[in-house]
Amino acid sequence: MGINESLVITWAMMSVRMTTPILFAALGGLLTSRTGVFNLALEGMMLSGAFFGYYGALTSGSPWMGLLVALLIGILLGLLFAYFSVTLNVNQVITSIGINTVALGLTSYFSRVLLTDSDVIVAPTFKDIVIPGLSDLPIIGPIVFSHSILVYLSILILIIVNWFLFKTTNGLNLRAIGEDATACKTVGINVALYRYLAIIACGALASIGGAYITTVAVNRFLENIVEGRGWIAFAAIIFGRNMPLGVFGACLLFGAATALQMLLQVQGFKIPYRFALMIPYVVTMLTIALIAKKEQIGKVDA
Amino acid sequence: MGWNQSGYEALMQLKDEGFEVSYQENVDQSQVKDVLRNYAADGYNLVIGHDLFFTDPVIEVAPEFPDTMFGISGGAKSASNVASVTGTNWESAYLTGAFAGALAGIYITGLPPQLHVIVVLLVSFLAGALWALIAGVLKVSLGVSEIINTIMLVYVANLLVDHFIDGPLAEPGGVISQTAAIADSARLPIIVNGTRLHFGFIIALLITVLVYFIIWRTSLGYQLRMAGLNPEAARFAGMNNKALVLISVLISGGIAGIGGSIETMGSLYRLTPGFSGGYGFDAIGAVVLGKSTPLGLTIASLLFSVIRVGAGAMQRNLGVPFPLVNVIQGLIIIFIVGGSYLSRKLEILTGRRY
Repeated sequence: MGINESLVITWAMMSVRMTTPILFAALGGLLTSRTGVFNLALEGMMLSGAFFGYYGALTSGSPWMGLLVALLIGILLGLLFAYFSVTLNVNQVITSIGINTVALGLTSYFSRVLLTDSDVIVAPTFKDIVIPGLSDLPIIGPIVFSHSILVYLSILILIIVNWFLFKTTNGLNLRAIGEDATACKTVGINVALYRYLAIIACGALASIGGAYITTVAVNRFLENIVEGRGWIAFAAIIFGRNMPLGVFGACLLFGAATALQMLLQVQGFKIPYRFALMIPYVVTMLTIALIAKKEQIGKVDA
Repeated sequence: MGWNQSGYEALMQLKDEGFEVSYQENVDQSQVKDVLRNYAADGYNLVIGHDLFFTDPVIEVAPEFPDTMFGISGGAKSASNVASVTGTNWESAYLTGAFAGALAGIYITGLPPQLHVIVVLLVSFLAGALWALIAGVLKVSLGVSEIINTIMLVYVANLLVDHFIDGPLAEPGGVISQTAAIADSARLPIIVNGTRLHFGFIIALLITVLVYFIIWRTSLGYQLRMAGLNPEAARFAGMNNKALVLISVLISGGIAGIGGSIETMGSLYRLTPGFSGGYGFDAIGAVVLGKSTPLGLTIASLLFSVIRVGAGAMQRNLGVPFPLVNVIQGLIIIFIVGGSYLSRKLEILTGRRY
């Protein structure tokens, strides 16, 4: 019992950490999907954030600098995606495939060009914050109060997004655009501006989510290090039914699946490690299948 | 102009389907149709766009473009476009096909060469088709987006295949993790002496012609095209759209599987972990660039292979990192999709399609 208990606490703590990158990207994707734009380039945006966040931290010696670089790259990618999907009004799916492909290529290219002759490939990372008193609490302490600043930032952004969407006029406008953009245009709402800002915010958030991976979780960059988390974030938006808290719940689930996978490996369970690695992907497929079925049964609900 | 009405109709029809409703509510109706017109004007991505987010406004837009193009031939790629499923699963079907093909090449012995090759092709077709069927069935029975599922399946297929190459099926007594080599009878002959061009190229061309024939000269092909162009009309005409989606998924997965086994039989001969060079992903770019026409796809595939081979040589001789290939391919895709904006504007100006 004692061993299992500590194992469960470890799992819960790791789940929170694995949730964070997905949550950043999913909250960004939520904003754009609420404006009626579907950003399938989350994966590429995360990957770019992961590399440039890492590289910024490595060259400057400060993870904050890395975060800033990632933020800028995310804004740029958001601008690019917005230009194609809003101004040019071309196919979002194919634009996303293009951005994802370029991001994979460029980050891998840069990592080979810029990092080869460098002995120092371990970048400085964000350290866990120890909150006096709270961090020492049993169970709650390690699970809730022993993380890096970015974990708390993601929760703060969750609260802000929720507040913005449902408590502000601008949020109401943004949701209205997703419901009926033509009607919004007629009443004088600047639809394109809202979409631009939502997509840029999405790029920034997804990029920070990627940077989390390289400046908190791991301290180096590996090619394709995001490993589908951008897609999982998109699944989280579907599973969370476009609601901030629902998306948070979905991210927790996928984060827990990722944590389980890591735990199974670390604990030396007799399961081939590649099967453990499959867990997040299989869980993602199962959950979106599950919600599809559920919505078919209670179709009025949505 | 029936603008709102079509949106309303679309929504009502979607409500019958449950899953997509929550999506549809967030789609900007005016944009849906613009996007659809755009697809139709470009001729290539009507099917891709329609399936996940914009299901039914197709009905209104489709008659405006009576000769909208479809995926034709060129391998797995466009066969799956025809009945409205985005086949991002080519990479995973390719993997499983290559894997199953390799197994058949290694463990089936004692067959005459021609027969052995045919057996391998069939086995890899089956493996690719069954793997693709996972996303297809989820799509048809539950309405789950195949875009996410196929990406997830790529990761799962990669891990699964690598697990077997690394573990249970590793060559006994081998130093590095790899499978045994396939039997000589399962190897494809070189068709031009002094090169590595093997018979697989001929097989690919034959399949291209075959798919072209199926799509344009058979009633199945007609139904597939109808289901892709105008699902509602196809259903009213008594076609079974779900069955058609599954058939196209089976065919496209199967052909991608053959793509994998051709690579195994023609040049790899044995599998190592991570053996796939991402050809399944290249296929997506080839479809976009080739605008899903048979000739276009073939030329685009050739171009992408030239880029790939050239990048390999540049890496070996000049140390230019190989991932530059992805950058070029991604830029091609982005410029093509951006160019569709221009062709739409030109169409408005001149009244002609480009």
